[in-house]
Amino acid sequence: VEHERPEEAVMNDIKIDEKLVEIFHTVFEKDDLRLTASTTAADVEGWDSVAHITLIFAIEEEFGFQFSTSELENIRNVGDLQIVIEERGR
Amino acid sequence: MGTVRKLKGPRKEEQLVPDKAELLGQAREAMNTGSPAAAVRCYEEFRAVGGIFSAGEHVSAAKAYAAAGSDALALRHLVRIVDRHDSTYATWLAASRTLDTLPESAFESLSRRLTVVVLSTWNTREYAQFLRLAAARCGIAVSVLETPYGQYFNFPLDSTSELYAHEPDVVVLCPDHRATGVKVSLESPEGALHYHVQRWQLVWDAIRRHSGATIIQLGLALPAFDEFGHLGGGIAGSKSQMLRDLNLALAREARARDIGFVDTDAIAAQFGKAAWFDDRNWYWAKIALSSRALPVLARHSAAVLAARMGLSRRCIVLDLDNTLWGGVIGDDGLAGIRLGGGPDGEAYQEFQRTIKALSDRGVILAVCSKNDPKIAREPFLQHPEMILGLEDFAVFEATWEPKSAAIQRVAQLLDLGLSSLTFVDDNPYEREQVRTALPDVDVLDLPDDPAGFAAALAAYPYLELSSFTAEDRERGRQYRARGAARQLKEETTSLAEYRSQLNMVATLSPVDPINLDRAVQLINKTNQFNLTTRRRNREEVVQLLARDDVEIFLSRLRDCFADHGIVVVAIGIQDGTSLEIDTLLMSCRVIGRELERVVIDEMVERARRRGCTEVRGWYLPTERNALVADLYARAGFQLVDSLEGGATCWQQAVGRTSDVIDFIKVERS
Repeated sequence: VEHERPEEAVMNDIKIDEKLVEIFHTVFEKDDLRLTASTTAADVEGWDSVAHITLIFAIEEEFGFQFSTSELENIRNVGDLQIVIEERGR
Repeated sequence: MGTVRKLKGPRKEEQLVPDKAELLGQAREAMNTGSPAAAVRCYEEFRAVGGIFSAGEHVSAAKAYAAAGSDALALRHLVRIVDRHDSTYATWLAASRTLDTLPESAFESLSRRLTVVVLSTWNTREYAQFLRLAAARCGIAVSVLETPYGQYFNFPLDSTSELYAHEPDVVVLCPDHRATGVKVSLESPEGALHYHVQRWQLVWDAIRRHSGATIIQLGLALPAFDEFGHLGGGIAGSKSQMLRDLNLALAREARARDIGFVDTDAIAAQFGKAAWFDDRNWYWAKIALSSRALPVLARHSAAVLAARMGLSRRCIVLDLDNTLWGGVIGDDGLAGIRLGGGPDGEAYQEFQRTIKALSDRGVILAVCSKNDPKIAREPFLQHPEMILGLEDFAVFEATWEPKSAAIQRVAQLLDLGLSSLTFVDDNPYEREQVRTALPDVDVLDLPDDPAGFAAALAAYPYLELSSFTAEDRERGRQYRARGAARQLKEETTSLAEYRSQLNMVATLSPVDPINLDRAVQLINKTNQFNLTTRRRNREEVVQLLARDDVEIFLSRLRDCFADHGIVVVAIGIQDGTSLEIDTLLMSCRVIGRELERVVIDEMVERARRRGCTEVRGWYLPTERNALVADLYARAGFQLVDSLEGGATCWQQAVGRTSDVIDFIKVERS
């Protein structure tokens, strides 16, 4: 499912789900990791393609849905994850 | 309608009375404020008041213990999640991450250290992490190294590849059905099958050529659908039939070649194939299965690995009331217990059938019940619906002591280590008591409903065999015979009289293709009566057989009660004018018969025939083999060397005669 890409200003208004933050803490083993909607893989130590798979699996289990292949292709930052979660998550 | 069940512990809803929930809350709070020691105190209290940890709480507790510096206890909590039904992908993930943070010292209690290389046709990164956790649960500390996926057929054939550079102890082969290249082959199904089987065997042959690693082959999880639909199974050469035949051929050939095999298709079917496969994961991440299935595959792989390493459980210790039948025999009486008739009565009966089937293939059974010993036996003697009989049990412990004490006695009576036992009890509080008091004993979590007992035991993977020999089939009978022999020992007055009444016959024999499996099995699992504890896989034993400076022989033992089968492996290697005993081990089931003296005499005789002037032997101490520390001294050897750490070297001149062991008749085959 395609979703519209909000502009940067709108991005910063997106509230990141606490459960999503917890998943980041587990995957990257850093309990003080701070996330905003514009946080990208480059900002988080260890967020490589391998950790990305783990992250997606953990999100899917927690929120009870599965990302489609096209959704996976369009994830640029934490905000994008949050938007799909809000649309599809339980 | 409904019968009133007498429960031995509080019911499930009472498990989380407020103070327990509060303790968990306090523990979380303590962790958040950076005081792990306080969190640990909360968890200990939680356990002390009978709290049962959920999978997630085990991980939280592990983090607290790790932060407080109790690494071994942290590990103990982490590995608990491997068998928990409430473990999710996130639980496995968090537990694996925590495992990675533990220092080397946390793994000291584990009995093996292995380098495992995973070779796959798919992206096994997550699987490899989970395998490390699942192996730790089986007592194995592994470092897992992955090779880039898709090198499945290249790396083994290339002796310079990184596969061999890692010097693996174990190679785990993980194919998936996409990599088989199997097509519909209506013209020549046999020819096509032959080609495919050979292609996979080529990998085994190459690994065997370039390394001594143990090989574990994961079978294929087969897709449920076929072009021919339901007719596919009946059409020779259809894709589904080709894949099924290939899978069966791999399983058969793996057994014939001493390769571990994981029946992936069976566990996928049990899990549900719709949930097992996930094509999205394949297209996106080149992972052949769903994220939820990864832990299941890792858990079963570890169980097969443990079996190869001789770490499987060998004896089931069973509770009676509400485990083998419904109700309490002491309160309800013979007519009151539920067995046979009625829904739960049938479930208990099926559970007994499952246990009986395990016993028939060599698993030893024991009873451990808080009961009056006479009353506890009544159902076995008089209830018409009982499947198990008293003769099926090697030990029958019915007392009012804590279960942990009774289980220790079971282990002593059978000369088994606690790590050979699995305790089965319907009562979660008894299970927790045993877990806490005897962490080496494995504990099976039965579901609340007896309808699920048989399935829970059938799905328990830690009784796995690495091979199946005639000895395995006979084992239960032999252990029962030992119980009878111990009684005779109590009845006869002198040891000499007892020994002569046993009418023991030792049969010395060379290693041949038929008894090779048994020899390898003994070399890899004997802990107590083992002078040097040198482990060797089948290949390494075969290599020894080809050397002319090596003496290697086995011994069987039979007595008036049973044929105990092959119980001794002895290996001597000539070093100049002396014959050094490289390996001398004996199955614990015949300890105390002085059979070792016959074996040492044979070794001395073989040294004489070789023209050697002395026989030398080392005792290398381990945690388990103190039993044989003075074996050579008792056999009249002289101490010639001792090293720091307790290793001692002993020697005896050839020609020096020792006392004749006249109560064991020696035969040769």
